[in-house]
Amino acid sequence: MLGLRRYQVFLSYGILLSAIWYAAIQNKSILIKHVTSSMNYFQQKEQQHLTDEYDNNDNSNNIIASEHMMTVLVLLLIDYFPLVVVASLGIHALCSISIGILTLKDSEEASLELERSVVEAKEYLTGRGLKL
Amino acid sequence: MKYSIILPTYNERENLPIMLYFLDKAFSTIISSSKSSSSSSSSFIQSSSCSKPSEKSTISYEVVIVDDASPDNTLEMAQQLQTLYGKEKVIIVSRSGKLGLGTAYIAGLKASHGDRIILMDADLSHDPKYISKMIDLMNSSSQKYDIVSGTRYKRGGGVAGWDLKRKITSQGANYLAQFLLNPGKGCSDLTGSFRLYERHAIERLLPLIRCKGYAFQMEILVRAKAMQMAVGEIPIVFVDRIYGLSKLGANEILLYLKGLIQLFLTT
Repeated sequence: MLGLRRYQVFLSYGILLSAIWYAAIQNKSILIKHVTSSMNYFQQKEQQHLTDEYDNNDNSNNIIASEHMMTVLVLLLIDYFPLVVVASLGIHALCSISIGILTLKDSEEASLELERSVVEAKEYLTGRGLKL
Repeated sequence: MKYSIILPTYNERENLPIMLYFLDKAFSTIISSSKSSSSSSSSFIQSSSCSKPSEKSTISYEVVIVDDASPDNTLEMAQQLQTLYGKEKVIIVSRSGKLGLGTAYIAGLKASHGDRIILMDADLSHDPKYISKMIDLMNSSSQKYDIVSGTRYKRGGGVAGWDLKRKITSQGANYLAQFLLNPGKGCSDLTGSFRLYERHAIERLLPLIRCKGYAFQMEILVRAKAMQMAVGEIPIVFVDRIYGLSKLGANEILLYLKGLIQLFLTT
């Protein structure tokens, strides 16, 4: 694309991802705060639509539970970022290869047609004096 | 417009005459269909009173057989075919031993006189009927292609005689190559060996190729894309008559991976 060799492209992606990972690890608490606060925001909006006629005493528990889960997920993502990347690549590879295998068309007719044509060819050639 | 088909052979005594028969048949169809289309177009041109030379009607072909001293005496069969079809249509390049595919192509290229070169397998796995589709794509005015490749992996293409293991190997190898090299448009089948080249394209590419085995064909396409050449593709069906993994040993796989890494580091 930019006249870069392929290994240089991969290297730059690696450096970029490593930089992102380093920044994420350094700022774990801030990131989690942002994620949970945005989660809170969406949750509250949803709760307002759903439970207008009920009281809101139970909602705080729900919010805390899903906050906790999100926190765990984000922590896992940050701590094991390279593993997540490799695993995603692996899953992508498995899916692409499986789709490729399933769509690779098996053509029996081509094989039969070839055998017929070979017979036709041999007849013609021996008729013209070729010693097969 | 002359087309040269370069066939490197090693122990293809049985397949070679059938190959020639198929090629002759395919090109007779191509030549007669182009003659009928150009004669109908030229009558239209005459009626609209403008003149245009119909250069496409003079299509001819030649087959260049490059034999690496086959023990089964393929050379003698090639000479019989030369007598049958004529020295204009069959050119023989006889080499002293098994010197490799790359040098066979280069030797064949040197002995050829065509404006466009077709490289294909001599073991009947490639059906010459696809040549007319390749020529049509290359002649299409929408895009000037330097190379038209036959792909087994797109809709309309396929294989015959491959078991699941072979399919997994081929798809795995293709995915790996696409991921590492990301060649782009026209390269869905990197290890396919049924292609039509413009003469200037293949003349520039062949001296650069260093890989051996399956990676050889891959390197041609990858280097072509690196040189900004336009590559088109048409779906083909590949008939594998050499059943099983007998041809695909661990050695071949290692050679392929080595070539892949080489290309990864140099393109």
